Amino acid sequence: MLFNSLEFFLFLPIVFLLYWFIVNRNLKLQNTFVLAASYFFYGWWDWRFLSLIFLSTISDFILGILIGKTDDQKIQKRYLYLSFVVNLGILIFFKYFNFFIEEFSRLSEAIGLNANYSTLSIILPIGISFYTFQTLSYTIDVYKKQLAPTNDFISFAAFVSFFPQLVAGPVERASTLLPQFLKKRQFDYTKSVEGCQQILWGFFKKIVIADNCALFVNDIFGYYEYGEVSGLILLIGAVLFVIQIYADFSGYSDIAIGVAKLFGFQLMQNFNFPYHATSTTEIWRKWHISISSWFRDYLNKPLFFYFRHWGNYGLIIPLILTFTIIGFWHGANWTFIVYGLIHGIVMSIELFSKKTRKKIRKKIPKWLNSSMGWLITMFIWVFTCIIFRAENMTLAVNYIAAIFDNLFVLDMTQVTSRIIFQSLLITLTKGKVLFLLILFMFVIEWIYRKYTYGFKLNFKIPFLNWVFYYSILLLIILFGEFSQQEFIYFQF
Amino acid sequence: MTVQDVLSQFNEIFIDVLDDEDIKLNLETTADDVEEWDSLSHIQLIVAIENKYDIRFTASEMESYRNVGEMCNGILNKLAAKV
Repeated sequence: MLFNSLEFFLFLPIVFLLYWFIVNRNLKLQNTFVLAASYFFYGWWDWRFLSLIFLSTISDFILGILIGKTDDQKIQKRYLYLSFVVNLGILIFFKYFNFFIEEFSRLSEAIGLNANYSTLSIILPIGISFYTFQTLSYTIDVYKKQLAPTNDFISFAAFVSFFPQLVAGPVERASTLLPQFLKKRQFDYTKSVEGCQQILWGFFKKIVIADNCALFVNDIFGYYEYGEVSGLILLIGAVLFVIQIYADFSGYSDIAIGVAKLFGFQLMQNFNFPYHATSTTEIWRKWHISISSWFRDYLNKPLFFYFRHWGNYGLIIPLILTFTIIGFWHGANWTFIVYGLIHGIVMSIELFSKKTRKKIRKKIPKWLNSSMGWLITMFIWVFTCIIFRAENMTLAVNYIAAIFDNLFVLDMTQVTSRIIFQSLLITLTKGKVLFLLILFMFVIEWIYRKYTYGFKLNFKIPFLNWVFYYSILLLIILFGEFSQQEFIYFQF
Repeated sequence: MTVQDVLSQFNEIFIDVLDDEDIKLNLETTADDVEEWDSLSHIQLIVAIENKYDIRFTASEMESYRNVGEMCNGILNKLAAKV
Protein backbone atom coordinates (compact mmCIF):
# COMPACT_ATOMS: atom_id res chain seq x y z
CA MET A 1 0.00 0.00 0.00
CA LEU A 2 1.09 3.54 -0.62
CA PHE A 3 2.06 5.81 2.26
CA ASN A 4 -0.32 8.42 0.87
CA SER A 5 -3.35 6.11 0.81
CA LEU A 6 -6.34 5.65 3.04
CA GLU A 7 -5.29 2.04 3.73
CA PHE A 8 -1.98 3.15 5.18
CA PHE A 9 -3.77 5.79 7.20
CA LEU A 10 -5.60 2.93 8.94
CA PHE A 11 -2.76 0.40 8.81
CA LEU A 12 -0.19 2.56 10.61
CA PRO A 13 -2.08 3.37 13.83
CA ILE A 14 -3.39 -0.19 14.15
CA VAL A 15 0.07 -1.70 13.72
CA PHE A 16 1.56 0.93 16.03
CA LEU A 17 -0.92 0.20 18.84
CA LEU A 18 -0.65 -3.58 18.52
CA TYR A 19 3.15 -3.30 18.44
CA TRP A 20 3.52 -1.30 21.65
CA PHE A 21 0.58 -2.63 23.66
CA ILE A 22 -0.04 -6.24 22.63
CA VAL A 23 3.11 -7.84 21.24
CA ASN A 24 5.46 -5.86 23.47
CA ARG A 25 6.23 -8.72 25.84
CA ASN A 26 9.30 -10.15 24.17
CA LEU A 27 11.63 -9.76 21.22
CA LYS A 28 10.43 -12.78 19.32
CA LEU A 29 6.85 -11.59 19.40
CA GLN A 30 7.89 -8.10 18.30
CA ASN A 31 9.83 -9.41 15.31
CA THR A 32 7.20 -11.94 14.28
CA PHE A 33 4.65 -9.15 14.32
CA VAL A 34 6.88 -6.79 12.25
CA LEU A 35 7.36 -9.61 9.76
CA ALA A 36 3.64 -10.33 9.49
CA ALA A 37 2.78 -6.63 9.17
CA SER A 38 5.48 -6.17 6.49
CA TYR A 39 4.26 -9.12 4.41
CA PHE A 40 0.71 -7.83 4.72
CA PHE A 41 1.87 -4.34 3.66
CA TYR A 42 3.64 -5.69 0.59
CA GLY A 43 1.01 -8.31 -0.21
CA TRP A 44 -1.56 -5.52 -0.50
CA TRP A 45 -0.01 -4.68 -3.90
CA ASP A 46 0.53 -8.17 -5.15
CA TRP A 47 0.84 -11.15 -2.82
CA ARG A 48 2.42 -13.30 -5.57
CA PHE A 49 5.67 -11.36 -5.44
CA LEU A 50 6.06 -12.13 -1.74
CA SER A 51 7.57 -15.37 -2.97
CA LEU A 52 10.48 -13.40 -4.48
CA ILE A 53 11.19 -11.63 -1.21
CA PHE A 54 10.99 -14.97 0.54
CA LEU A 55 13.39 -16.56 -1.96
CA SER A 56 15.89 -13.74 -1.53
CA THR A 57 15.51 -13.97 2.27
CA ILE A 58 15.93 -17.71 2.65
CA SER A 59 18.85 -18.00 0.26
CA ASP A 60 20.91 -15.29 1.94
CA PHE A 61 19.96 -16.57 5.39
CA ILE A 62 21.36 -20.00 4.51
CA LEU A 63 24.38 -18.63 2.63
CA GLY A 64 25.23 -16.40 5.60
CA ILE A 65 25.29 -19.41 7.92
CA LEU A 66 27.33 -21.44 5.43
CA ILE A 67 29.91 -18.66 5.09
CA GLY A 68 30.18 -18.50 8.87
CA LYS A 69 30.72 -22.27 9.13
CA THR A 70 33.87 -22.49 7.02
CA ASP A 71 37.26 -20.80 7.24
CA ASP A 72 38.18 -21.63 3.67
CA GLN A 73 38.16 -18.35 1.80
CA LYS A 74 37.61 -20.01 -1.56
CA ILE A 75 34.44 -21.72 -0.38
CA GLN A 76 33.26 -18.51 1.30
CA LYS A 77 33.75 -16.69 -1.98
CA ARG A 78 31.71 -19.32 -3.80
CA TYR A 79 28.80 -18.78 -1.41
CA LEU A 80 29.11 -15.03 -1.89
CA TYR A 81 28.93 -15.43 -5.67
CA LEU A 82 25.90 -17.67 -5.27
CA SER A 83 24.17 -14.85 -3.39
CA PHE A 84 25.01 -12.50 -6.27
CA VAL A 85 23.55 -14.99 -8.74
CA VAL A 86 20.30 -15.37 -6.79
CA ASN A 87 19.69 -11.69 -6.03
CA LEU A 88 20.95 -10.18 -9.25
CA GLY A 89 19.34 -13.07 -11.12
CA ILE A 90 15.92 -12.16 -9.72
CA LEU A 91 16.59 -8.51 -10.46
CA ILE A 92 17.88 -9.01 -14.00
CA PHE A 93 15.12 -11.40 -14.96
CA PHE A 94 12.26 -9.25 -13.73
CA LYS A 95 13.67 -5.86 -14.58
CA TYR A 96 16.09 -6.14 -17.49
CA PHE A 97 15.25 -9.34 -19.38
CA ASN A 98 13.04 -7.73 -22.02
CA PHE A 99 15.43 -4.81 -22.44
CA PHE A 100 18.32 -7.14 -23.26
CA ILE A 101 16.18 -9.24 -25.61
CA GLU A 102 14.99 -6.17 -27.50
CA GLU A 103 18.44 -4.66 -27.78
CA PHE A 104 19.85 -8.01 -28.87
CA SER A 105 17.22 -8.37 -31.60
CA ARG A 106 17.90 -4.84 -32.77
CA LEU A 107 21.62 -5.56 -32.90
CA SER A 108 21.06 -8.79 -34.83
CA GLU A 109 18.88 -6.97 -37.35
CA ALA A 110 21.49 -4.26 -37.71
CA ILE A 111 24.13 -6.76 -38.71
CA GLY A 112 21.74 -8.43 -41.13
CA LEU A 113 20.47 -11.41 -39.19
CA ASN A 114 16.79 -12.05 -39.27
CA ALA A 115 16.18 -12.32 -35.59
CA ASN A 116 12.82 -12.68 -34.05
CA TYR A 117 13.24 -13.21 -30.35
CA SER A 118 10.08 -12.80 -28.43
CA THR A 119 9.95 -10.92 -25.18
CA LEU A 120 8.05 -12.14 -22.14
CA SER A 121 5.27 -10.26 -20.50
CA ILE A 122 6.89 -9.65 -17.14
CA ILE A 123 5.44 -7.37 -14.51
CA LEU A 124 8.04 -5.46 -12.54
CA PRO A 125 7.67 -6.44 -8.87
CA ILE A 126 7.60 -3.30 -6.79
CA GLY A 127 10.67 -2.51 -4.70
CA ILE A 128 12.77 -5.26 -6.27
CA SER A 129 15.85 -3.06 -6.77
CA PHE A 130 15.78 -2.07 -3.12
CA TYR A 131 15.35 -5.27 -1.14
CA THR A 132 17.68 -7.35 -3.32
CA PHE A 133 20.45 -4.83 -2.62
CA GLN A 134 19.73 -4.82 1.08
CA THR A 135 19.84 -8.61 1.29
CA LEU A 136 23.02 -8.64 -0.75
CA SER A 137 24.65 -6.24 1.71
CA TYR A 138 24.08 -8.84 4.45
CA THR A 139 26.00 -11.59 2.67
CA ILE A 140 28.79 -9.20 1.65
CA ASP A 141 29.12 -7.90 5.22
CA VAL A 142 29.20 -11.46 6.58
CA TYR A 143 31.80 -12.38 3.97
CA LYS A 144 33.90 -9.36 4.96
CA LYS A 145 33.53 -10.37 8.62
CA GLN A 146 31.89 -7.07 9.47
CA LEU A 147 28.89 -8.94 10.80
CA ALA A 148 28.34 -12.33 12.37
CA PRO A 149 25.79 -14.46 10.51
CA THR A 150 22.48 -14.73 12.32
CA ASN A 151 20.66 -17.95 13.22
CA ASP A 152 17.44 -16.13 13.93
CA PHE A 153 15.34 -16.53 10.79
CA ILE A 154 12.38 -14.46 11.96
CA SER A 155 14.57 -11.45 12.76
CA PHE A 156 16.41 -11.80 9.48
CA ALA A 157 13.21 -12.06 7.46
CA ALA A 158 11.85 -9.01 9.29
CA PHE A 159 15.08 -7.12 8.50
CA VAL A 160 14.71 -7.89 4.79
CA SER A 161 11.03 -7.00 4.55
CA PHE A 162 10.77 -4.17 7.15
CA PHE A 163 7.74 -2.32 5.75
CA PRO A 164 8.77 1.34 6.24
CA GLN A 165 11.72 0.91 3.89
CA LEU A 166 10.81 -2.19 1.88
CA VAL A 167 9.65 -0.70 -1.40
CA ALA A 168 11.91 2.32 -1.94
CA GLY A 169 14.58 2.38 0.73
CA PRO A 170 16.58 3.76 2.40
CA VAL A 171 18.54 0.63 1.46
CA GLU A 172 20.02 -0.26 4.83
CA ARG A 173 23.28 -2.04 5.54
CA ALA A 174 22.83 -5.31 7.35
CA SER A 175 25.54 -4.30 9.83
CA THR A 176 23.51 -1.30 11.03
CA LEU A 177 19.89 -2.49 10.73
CA LEU A 178 20.04 -6.20 11.57
CA PRO A 179 21.50 -5.67 15.09
CA GLN A 180 18.51 -3.42 15.82
CA PHE A 181 16.26 -6.42 15.19
CA LEU A 182 18.23 -8.52 17.67
CA LYS A 183 17.49 -6.19 20.60
CA LYS A 184 14.08 -5.62 22.12
CA ARG A 185 12.79 -2.14 21.27
CA GLN A 186 11.70 0.23 24.03
CA PHE A 187 9.29 3.04 23.37
CA ASP A 188 11.15 6.38 23.19
CA TYR A 189 8.99 9.46 23.42
CA THR A 190 11.52 11.96 22.00
CA LYS A 191 12.33 9.73 19.04
CA SER A 192 8.64 9.22 18.35
CA VAL A 193 8.01 12.97 18.35
CA GLU A 194 10.87 13.35 15.87
CA GLY A 195 9.36 10.57 13.80
CA CYS A 196 6.01 12.35 13.68
CA GLN A 197 7.64 15.63 12.67
CA GLN A 198 9.49 13.88 9.89
CA ILE A 199 6.36 12.07 8.68
CA LEU A 200 4.38 15.33 8.65
CA TRP A 201 7.11 17.10 6.69
CA GLY A 202 7.41 14.17 4.30
CA PHE A 203 3.69 14.26 3.55
CA PHE A 204 3.88 18.02 2.99
CA LYS A 205 6.70 17.56 0.46
CA LYS A 206 4.91 14.70 -1.27
CA ILE A 207 1.27 15.78 -1.33
CA VAL A 208 1.68 19.54 -1.54
CA ILE A 209 4.91 20.12 -3.46
CA ALA A 210 5.63 17.02 -5.52
CA ASP A 211 2.10 16.16 -6.58
CA ASN A 212 1.23 19.75 -7.49
CA CYS A 213 4.44 20.11 -9.51
CA ALA A 214 3.49 16.83 -11.20
CA LEU A 215 0.36 18.44 -12.68
CA PHE A 216 2.50 20.92 -14.62
CA VAL A 217 5.32 18.50 -15.33
CA ASN A 218 3.06 15.78 -16.74
CA ASP A 219 1.33 18.29 -19.00
CA ILE A 220 4.50 19.84 -20.32
CA PHE A 221 6.38 16.58 -20.81
CA GLY A 222 3.27 14.96 -22.24
CA TYR A 223 2.41 17.54 -24.88
CA TYR A 224 5.63 19.07 -26.16
CA GLU A 225 6.17 16.41 -28.81
CA TYR A 226 2.97 17.32 -30.62
CA GLY A 227 3.66 20.96 -31.17
CA GLU A 228 6.01 23.82 -30.82
CA VAL A 229 5.96 24.62 -27.19
CA SER A 230 7.81 27.71 -26.08
CA GLY A 231 11.31 26.85 -24.89
CA LEU A 232 10.72 28.87 -21.77
CA ILE A 233 7.78 26.69 -20.78
CA LEU A 234 9.85 23.58 -21.45
CA LEU A 235 12.57 24.96 -19.23
CA ILE A 236 10.07 25.73 -16.47
CA GLY A 237 8.77 22.17 -16.87
CA ALA A 238 12.27 20.79 -16.39
CA VAL A 239 12.93 22.92 -13.31
CA LEU A 240 9.58 21.90 -11.84
CA PHE A 241 10.46 18.26 -12.44
CA VAL A 242 13.72 18.76 -10.58
CA ILE A 243 11.74 20.16 -7.65
CA GLN A 244 9.15 17.40 -7.97
CA ILE A 245 11.63 14.53 -7.91
CA TYR A 246 13.38 15.96 -4.85
CA ALA A 247 10.16 16.62 -2.94
CA ASP A 248 8.79 13.22 -3.96
CA PHE A 249 11.75 11.06 -3.06
CA SER A 250 13.06 12.98 -0.05
CA GLY A 251 9.45 13.26 1.14
CA TYR A 252 9.06 9.50 0.81
CA SER A 253 12.35 8.98 2.68
CA ASP A 254 11.24 11.28 5.48
CA ILE A 255 8.03 9.28 5.89
CA ALA A 256 9.92 5.96 5.82
CA ILE A 257 12.52 7.09 8.38
CA GLY A 258 9.83 8.71 10.53
CA VAL A 259 7.64 5.59 10.55
CA ALA A 260 10.66 3.44 11.46
CA LYS A 261 11.36 5.79 14.40
CA LEU A 262 7.83 5.17 15.68
CA PHE A 263 8.73 1.49 15.94
CA GLY A 264 12.06 2.14 17.65
CA PHE A 265 14.33 1.81 14.62
CA GLN A 266 16.92 4.24 13.33
CA LEU A 267 17.34 4.21 9.56
CA MET A 268 20.08 6.06 7.71
CA GLN A 269 19.75 9.59 6.38
CA ASN A 270 18.87 9.36 2.69
CA PHE A 271 19.01 13.03 1.65
CA ASN A 272 21.28 15.71 3.03
CA PHE A 273 19.85 18.77 1.24
CA PRO A 274 21.35 17.87 -2.18
CA TYR A 275 20.24 21.09 -3.83
CA HIS A 276 22.62 23.06 -1.62
CA ALA A 277 25.53 21.29 -3.33
CA THR A 278 28.09 23.28 -5.28
CA SER A 279 29.45 20.40 -7.37
CA THR A 280 28.06 17.25 -8.98
CA THR A 281 30.35 15.15 -6.79
CA GLU A 282 28.83 16.81 -3.75
CA ILE A 283 25.27 16.34 -5.00
CA TRP A 284 25.90 12.59 -5.16
CA ARG A 285 27.09 12.60 -1.57
CA LYS A 286 23.79 14.21 -0.57
CA TRP A 287 21.31 12.59 -2.99
CA HIS A 288 19.84 9.14 -2.34
CA ILE A 289 22.73 8.49 0.04
CA SER A 290 21.76 4.91 0.85
CA ILE A 291 22.12 3.79 -2.77
CA SER A 292 25.05 6.03 -3.75
CA SER A 293 27.01 4.87 -0.70
CA TRP A 294 26.04 1.24 -1.43
CA PHE A 295 27.58 1.52 -4.88
CA ARG A 296 30.54 3.48 -3.48
CA ASP A 297 31.41 0.78 -0.95
CA TYR A 298 30.54 -2.38 -2.86
CA LEU A 299 31.38 -1.40 -6.44
CA ASN A 300 33.32 1.84 -6.80
CA LYS A 301 35.93 1.19 -4.10
CA PRO A 302 36.77 -2.34 -5.31
CA LEU A 303 37.01 -0.99 -8.87
CA PHE A 304 39.28 1.84 -7.78
CA PHE A 305 41.40 -0.67 -5.95
CA TYR A 306 41.55 -3.01 -8.91
CA PHE A 307 42.51 -0.31 -11.40
CA ARG A 308 44.74 1.64 -9.01
CA HIS A 309 47.95 1.27 -11.00
CA TRP A 310 46.37 2.41 -14.26
CA GLY A 311 47.17 6.07 -13.61
CA ASN A 312 44.43 8.52 -14.59
CA TYR A 313 42.46 5.81 -16.38
CA GLY A 314 42.32 3.98 -13.07
CA LEU A 315 40.26 6.88 -11.73
CA ILE A 316 38.11 7.58 -14.79
CA ILE A 317 37.11 3.99 -15.61
CA PRO A 318 35.72 3.14 -12.13
CA LEU A 319 33.90 6.47 -11.83
CA ILE A 320 32.20 6.29 -15.20
CA LEU A 321 31.44 2.59 -14.85
CA THR A 322 29.94 3.00 -11.37
CA PHE A 323 27.70 5.90 -12.31
CA THR A 324 26.56 4.31 -15.55
CA ILE A 325 25.51 1.29 -13.50
CA ILE A 326 23.82 3.53 -10.91
CA GLY A 327 21.91 5.09 -13.81
CA PHE A 328 20.97 1.67 -15.18
CA TRP A 329 19.87 0.58 -11.70
CA HIS A 330 16.91 2.97 -12.07
CA GLY A 331 15.44 1.06 -14.95
CA ALA A 332 15.85 -0.79 -18.23
CA ASN A 333 16.05 2.24 -20.48
CA TRP A 334 18.84 3.99 -22.36
CA THR A 335 17.78 7.27 -20.78
CA PHE A 336 18.96 6.07 -17.36
CA ILE A 337 22.23 4.78 -18.79
CA VAL A 338 22.94 8.13 -20.44
CA TYR A 339 21.91 9.96 -17.26
CA GLY A 340 24.45 7.98 -15.23
CA LEU A 341 27.13 8.18 -17.90
CA ILE A 342 26.95 11.98 -18.03
CA HIS A 343 27.23 12.21 -14.26
CA GLY A 344 30.25 9.90 -14.33
CA ILE A 345 31.91 12.07 -16.97
CA VAL A 346 31.14 15.29 -15.11
CA MET A 347 32.60 13.85 -11.92
CA SER A 348 35.75 12.77 -13.75
CA ILE A 349 36.13 16.32 -15.04
CA GLU A 350 35.61 17.67 -11.54
CA LEU A 351 38.22 15.28 -10.23
CA PHE A 352 40.88 16.37 -12.68
CA SER A 353 40.10 20.06 -12.35
CA LYS A 354 40.39 19.89 -8.56
CA LYS A 355 43.72 21.70 -8.35
CA THR A 356 42.73 24.37 -10.87
CA ARG A 357 39.49 24.95 -9.04
CA LYS A 358 41.35 25.24 -5.75
CA LYS A 359 43.53 28.01 -7.25
CA ILE A 360 40.47 29.86 -8.52
CA ARG A 361 38.84 29.49 -5.11
CA LYS A 362 41.74 31.32 -3.47
CA LYS A 363 41.48 34.26 -5.84
CA ILE A 364 37.78 35.07 -5.84
CA PRO A 365 35.35 35.79 -3.00
CA LYS A 366 33.79 32.76 -1.35
CA TRP A 367 30.19 33.66 -2.20
CA LEU A 368 31.05 34.08 -5.88
CA ASN A 369 32.81 30.72 -5.97
CA SER A 370 29.95 28.84 -4.33
CA SER A 371 27.21 30.53 -6.35
CA MET A 372 29.06 29.81 -9.58
CA GLY A 373 29.56 26.21 -8.52
CA TRP A 374 25.89 25.95 -7.60
CA LEU A 375 24.72 27.38 -10.94
CA ILE A 376 26.89 25.01 -12.98
CA THR A 377 25.84 22.04 -10.85
CA MET A 378 22.15 22.86 -11.13
CA PHE A 379 22.44 23.49 -14.87
CA ILE A 380 23.85 20.00 -15.38
CA TRP A 381 21.35 18.49 -12.94
CA VAL A 382 18.32 20.06 -14.66
CA PHE A 383 19.37 18.89 -18.11
CA THR A 384 20.26 15.38 -17.03
CA CYS A 385 16.95 15.19 -15.17
CA ILE A 386 15.19 15.87 -18.50
CA ILE A 387 16.87 12.73 -19.83
CA PHE A 388 15.88 10.91 -16.63
CA ARG A 389 12.24 11.92 -17.04
CA ALA A 390 11.85 11.42 -20.79
CA GLU A 391 10.30 8.21 -22.16
CA ASN A 392 13.20 7.58 -24.50
CA MET A 393 16.40 9.16 -25.78
CA THR A 394 14.83 10.66 -28.92
CA LEU A 395 12.25 12.52 -26.87
CA ALA A 396 14.92 13.64 -24.41
CA VAL A 397 17.13 15.07 -27.14
CA ASN A 398 14.17 16.76 -28.81
CA TYR A 399 13.09 18.28 -25.53
CA ILE A 400 16.53 19.74 -24.86
CA ALA A 401 16.89 20.96 -28.44
CA ALA A 402 13.46 22.58 -28.29
CA ILE A 403 14.47 24.55 -25.19
CA PHE A 404 17.37 26.15 -27.05
CA ASP A 405 15.61 26.44 -30.42
CA ASN A 406 12.83 28.66 -29.28
CA LEU A 407 13.55 29.79 -25.79
CA PHE A 408 11.72 33.07 -26.29
CA VAL A 409 9.40 32.13 -29.13
CA LEU A 410 5.75 31.89 -28.33
CA ASP A 411 4.24 30.01 -31.25
CA MET A 412 0.52 29.83 -30.62
CA THR A 413 -0.33 26.58 -32.33
CA GLN A 414 -3.28 24.79 -30.92
CA VAL A 415 -1.47 22.49 -28.57
CA THR A 416 0.83 25.18 -27.33
CA SER A 417 -1.95 27.52 -26.54
CA ARG A 418 -3.76 24.73 -24.82
CA ILE A 419 -0.83 24.10 -22.54
CA ILE A 420 -0.30 27.75 -21.87
CA PHE A 421 -3.98 28.20 -21.25
CA GLN A 422 -4.05 25.24 -18.89
CA SER A 423 -0.96 26.40 -17.12
CA LEU A 424 -2.40 29.86 -16.80
CA LEU A 425 -5.60 28.45 -15.44
CA ILE A 426 -3.70 26.53 -12.83
CA THR A 427 -1.47 29.52 -12.28
CA LEU A 428 -4.40 31.72 -11.46
CA THR A 429 -5.78 29.32 -8.91
CA LYS A 430 -2.79 27.33 -7.78
CA GLY A 431 0.39 28.31 -9.61
CA LYS A 432 1.08 31.46 -7.66
CA VAL A 433 0.50 29.63 -4.42
CA LEU A 434 2.63 26.71 -5.59
CA PHE A 435 5.53 29.06 -6.18
CA LEU A 436 5.20 30.38 -2.62
CA LEU A 437 4.89 26.87 -1.22
CA ILE A 438 8.05 25.75 -3.00
CA LEU A 439 9.82 28.79 -1.62
CA PHE A 440 8.48 27.96 1.84
CA MET A 441 9.81 24.39 1.61
CA PHE A 442 13.30 25.49 0.61
CA VAL A 443 13.44 28.23 3.26
CA ILE A 444 12.41 25.85 6.07
CA GLU A 445 14.93 23.26 4.89
CA TRP A 446 17.62 25.92 4.71
CA ILE A 447 16.94 26.87 8.33
CA TYR A 448 17.23 23.25 9.49
CA ARG A 449 20.02 22.24 7.10
CA LYS A 450 22.36 21.27 9.95
CA TYR A 451 19.97 18.50 11.03
CA THR A 452 19.23 15.11 9.52
CA TYR A 453 15.83 16.26 8.26
CA GLY A 454 14.38 19.58 7.20
CA PHE A 455 11.74 20.10 9.86
CA LYS A 456 13.40 19.48 13.21
CA LEU A 457 11.38 21.97 15.25
CA ASN A 458 12.72 22.59 18.71
CA PHE A 459 11.14 25.75 20.06
CA LYS A 460 11.56 26.39 23.76
CA ILE A 461 7.83 27.05 24.02
CA PRO A 462 5.93 23.87 23.04
CA PHE A 463 2.99 25.97 21.94
CA LEU A 464 5.02 27.32 18.99
CA ASN A 465 5.77 23.78 17.81
CA TRP A 466 2.06 23.08 17.75
CA VAL A 467 1.38 26.27 15.78
CA PHE A 468 3.75 24.96 13.12
CA TYR A 469 2.32 21.44 13.15
CA TYR A 470 -1.18 22.72 12.59
CA SER A 471 -0.01 25.17 9.95
CA ILE A 472 1.62 22.38 7.96
CA LEU A 473 -1.46 20.23 8.38
CA LEU A 474 -3.60 23.11 7.18
CA LEU A 475 -1.34 23.63 4.16
CA ILE A 476 -1.68 19.94 3.31
CA ILE A 477 -5.48 20.10 3.59
CA LEU A 478 -5.76 23.36 1.63
CA PHE A 479 -3.23 22.81 -1.13
CA GLY A 480 -2.65 19.07 -1.16
CA GLU A 481 -3.21 17.10 -4.33
CA PHE A 482 -5.18 14.11 -3.12
CA SER A 483 -5.14 11.89 -6.17
CA GLN A 484 -2.84 9.33 -4.47
CA GLN A 485 -0.10 9.52 -7.06
CA GLU A 486 2.57 6.87 -6.76
CA PHE A 487 6.00 7.84 -5.54
CA ILE A 488 8.40 8.18 -8.47
CA TYR A 489 10.96 5.79 -7.00
CA PHE A 490 8.44 2.97 -6.50
CA GLN A 491 8.90 2.01 -10.14
CA PHE A 492 12.63 1.41 -9.73
CA MET B 1 63.00 2.03 10.31
CA THR B 2 60.70 2.94 13.19
CA VAL B 3 57.01 3.78 13.25
CA GLN B 4 57.94 7.45 13.67
CA ASP B 5 60.06 7.35 10.48
CA VAL B 6 57.19 5.86 8.50
CA LEU B 7 54.84 8.42 10.01
CA SER B 8 56.94 11.38 8.89
CA GLN B 9 57.29 9.91 5.40
CA PHE B 10 53.55 9.38 5.39
CA ASN B 11 53.03 12.99 6.26
CA GLU B 12 54.93 14.08 3.14
CA ILE B 13 52.94 11.69 0.95
CA PHE B 14 49.68 13.01 2.39
CA ILE B 15 50.69 16.63 1.83
CA ASP B 16 51.66 15.83 -1.72
CA VAL B 17 48.63 13.72 -2.69
CA LEU B 18 45.98 15.72 -0.87
CA ASP B 19 47.61 19.03 -1.81
CA ASP B 20 47.35 20.46 1.69
CA GLU B 21 50.41 21.90 3.45
CA ASP B 22 48.71 21.95 6.84
CA ILE B 23 48.32 18.20 7.33
CA LYS B 24 49.88 16.95 10.56
CA LEU B 25 49.39 13.22 11.02
CA ASN B 26 49.71 11.25 14.22
CA LEU B 27 49.22 7.56 14.89
CA GLU B 28 45.56 8.04 15.83
CA THR B 29 44.58 10.08 12.75
CA THR B 30 41.61 8.69 10.80
CA ALA B 31 39.94 9.71 7.56
CA ASP B 32 37.44 11.75 9.56
CA ASP B 33 40.20 14.06 10.80
CA VAL B 34 41.51 15.07 7.37
CA GLU B 35 39.12 17.04 5.21
CA GLU B 36 40.36 15.95 1.79
CA TRP B 37 40.72 12.28 2.72
CA ASP B 38 37.75 10.58 1.01
CA SER B 39 37.35 7.17 -0.58
CA LEU B 40 38.91 8.39 -3.81
CA SER B 41 41.95 10.16 -2.44
CA HIS B 42 42.36 7.13 -0.19
CA ILE B 43 43.15 5.05 -3.29
CA GLN B 44 45.57 7.70 -4.51
CA LEU B 45 47.30 7.55 -1.13
CA ILE B 46 47.53 3.76 -1.34
CA VAL B 47 49.10 3.94 -4.79
CA ALA B 48 51.64 6.53 -3.60
CA ILE B 49 52.52 4.41 -0.56
CA GLU B 50 52.77 1.20 -2.59
CA ASN B 51 55.09 2.86 -5.06
CA LYS B 52 57.25 4.46 -2.38
CA TYR B 53 57.89 1.24 -0.44
CA ASP B 54 57.52 -1.12 -3.39
CA ILE B 55 54.88 -3.22 -1.66
CA ARG B 56 51.34 -4.34 -2.52
CA PHE B 57 48.26 -4.34 -0.34
CA THR B 58 45.29 -6.68 -0.65
CA ALA B 59 41.76 -5.31 -0.54
CA SER B 60 41.04 -6.92 2.83
CA GLU B 61 44.26 -5.52 4.33
CA MET B 62 43.19 -2.08 3.23
CA GLU B 63 39.82 -2.42 4.92
CA SER B 64 41.32 -3.68 8.17
CA TYR B 65 43.34 -0.50 8.90
CA ARG B 66 41.41 1.78 11.22
CA ASN B 67 43.91 4.62 11.55
CA VAL B 68 47.29 5.88 10.35
CA GLY B 69 49.16 4.01 13.11
CA GLU B 70 47.77 0.62 12.02
CA MET B 71 48.73 1.43 8.44
CA CYS B 72 52.29 2.32 9.48
CA ASN B 73 52.60 -0.95 11.38
CA GLY B 74 51.16 -2.82 8.40
CA ILE B 75 53.89 -1.39 6.22
CA LEU B 76 56.64 -2.21 8.69
CA ASN B 77 55.40 -5.80 8.84
CA LYS B 78 55.40 -6.03 5.06
CA LEU B 79 58.90 -4.57 4.79
CA ALA B 80 60.15 -6.97 7.47
CA ALA B 81 58.62 -9.89 5.58
CA LYS B 82 60.40 -8.81 2.40
CA VAL B 83 63.85 -9.01 4.03
